[in-house]
Amino acid sequence: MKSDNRNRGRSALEDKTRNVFQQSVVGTDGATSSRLNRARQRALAELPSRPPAWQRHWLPAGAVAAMGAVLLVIFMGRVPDTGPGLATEVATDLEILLDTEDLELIQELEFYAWLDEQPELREDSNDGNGVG
Amino acid sequence: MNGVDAIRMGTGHGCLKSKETTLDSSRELDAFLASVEKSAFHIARLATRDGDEALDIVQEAMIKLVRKYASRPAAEWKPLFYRILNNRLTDWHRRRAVRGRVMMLFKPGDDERDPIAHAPDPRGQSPLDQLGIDNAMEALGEALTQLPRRQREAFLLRNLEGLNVAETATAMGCSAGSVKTHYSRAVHRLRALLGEHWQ
Repeated sequence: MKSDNRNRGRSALEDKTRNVFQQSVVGTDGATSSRLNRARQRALAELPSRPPAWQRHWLPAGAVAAMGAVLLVIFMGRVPDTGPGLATEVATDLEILLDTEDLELIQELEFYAWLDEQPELREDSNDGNGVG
Repeated sequence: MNGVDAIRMGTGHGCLKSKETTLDSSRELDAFLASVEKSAFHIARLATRDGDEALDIVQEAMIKLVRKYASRPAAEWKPLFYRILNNRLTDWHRRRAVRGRVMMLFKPGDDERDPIAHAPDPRGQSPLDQLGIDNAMEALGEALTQLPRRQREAFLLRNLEGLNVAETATAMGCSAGSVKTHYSRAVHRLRALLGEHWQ
């Protein structure tokens, strides 16, 4: 109950500050909106040319297919000839390994690993509070 | 049609596809930036207390995202954009602190606050409504300046911009646990600073 009261109080402050902020965003004056629009157009003019679509779409798909093929070879190489039961098990294992959610998780982990390697995005997070 | 014509047509088609792809990327980025620019501006203005500085910082963040990270998946743009914005704001505060220390050597006791730069702008809403929002934002901005930097960042990104814990952690470059700690301390401190009429 005590915790509920604390949560309610905190939520009220969060709601109010967020509400004021959103009203402020909605009420952005025309001059500022126009300047933001111009800033966005200037930024978009810096867009580097991208590789053709086939490279962007087929290369990741190729990588996944290659990974599947490697896994298949590894599994098939290890499987002794013991009948259809084990073959089904291998197929299930492969299905789990190639599950889309797992691949998304791998991609997300790749994103965080990649993020850590970006020197320009790094900054000293120590604020003297002993946290972060 | 001879073979050469066919190759030419094929090449032309490839160029057209490439241009279409660039156009699609440009549209996608345009839509993304349009969706965050106002929030980003108001966050930067709350952090800097200066509209012109806020606009410059948002523009720099947009340019950097487009130049360096446009090829990243669209789902990553938001945390990346706020990471860049957050770093820019941190740099701005550090530069200002250094400038302030240097200026203090020459003009002790001067008030840094420029009344023209802080004058409220006319808005589309009724003057009374806008005055209320402006006053509330002013009070919020004033309270936020009294928070330690990491607490302020956590509150701006998590509550005002509405990023989730993972996105806030990415934007701040720290762990999810740190975000929760900074955020909780920020809310606690703001409750004390803003008074009971905000609760």
